[in-house]
Amino acid sequence: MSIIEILTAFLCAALSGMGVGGGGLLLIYIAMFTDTPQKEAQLYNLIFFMCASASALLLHVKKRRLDLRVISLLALSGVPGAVVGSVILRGLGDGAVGTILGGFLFLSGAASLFSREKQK
Amino acid sequence: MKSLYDGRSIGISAAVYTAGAGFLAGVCNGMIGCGGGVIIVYALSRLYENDPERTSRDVFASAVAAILPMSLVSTLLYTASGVADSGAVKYIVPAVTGGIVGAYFLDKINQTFLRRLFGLLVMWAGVSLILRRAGIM
Repeated sequence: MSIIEILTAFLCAALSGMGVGGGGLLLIYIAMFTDTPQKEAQLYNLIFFMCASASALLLHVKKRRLDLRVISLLALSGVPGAVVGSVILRGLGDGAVGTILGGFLFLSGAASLFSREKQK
Repeated sequence: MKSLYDGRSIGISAAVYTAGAGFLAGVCNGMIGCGGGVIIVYALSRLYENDPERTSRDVFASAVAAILPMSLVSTLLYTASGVADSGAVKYIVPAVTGGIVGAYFLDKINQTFLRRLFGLLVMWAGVSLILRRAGIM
């Protein structure tokens, strides 16, 4: 693993810990700059995100930033969604998934760029 | 949008709105291995719009927490369907250390600037990825 790769992963994890979407950035890096197949890259990204978010959560819990009621609702509805998404993925080739990912990244980038946020 | 949630009790509309956002985030998480956070951050920013107690930092932290179980389920399903995970080991140490550093600096960094920078980078990456898949780049 090169220094560049370690630094990229570290920075992406730091952004993930802030909730800025760094998980997606690592996927971009793996998909665009390594020879890893698309679905494998996505799995790496999921494992990476779990490690980054689990460690970040230790601090978030300590600082009482979590709204457990809302998180429970999101998680309870998101888990079946993840099952549906994973089943859809099985029917798609790497090329199609890459194109869907590209389109999604473009839209989510635009949303981050132009969306309003709570200022507090 | 009218305020759905006052930070104390969740009404039916707020629950349906939140669950819908969660489901959509889950589908993205399972299908493309990322992206759920963007949907949840957007949804929670609207949900907390009129709740003075909740800050953008709470939105980001709650998004991180909500995506974790979805990522776990997606990971299990990917592995069960035969996608190889052996190459992920090398990312674990930078992930754990980077996650802690990111959570620590959440209070100290200008989030708006960071999100704009992230937005530009991700838009560029999305276009590049599509062009690559089309064989243009």
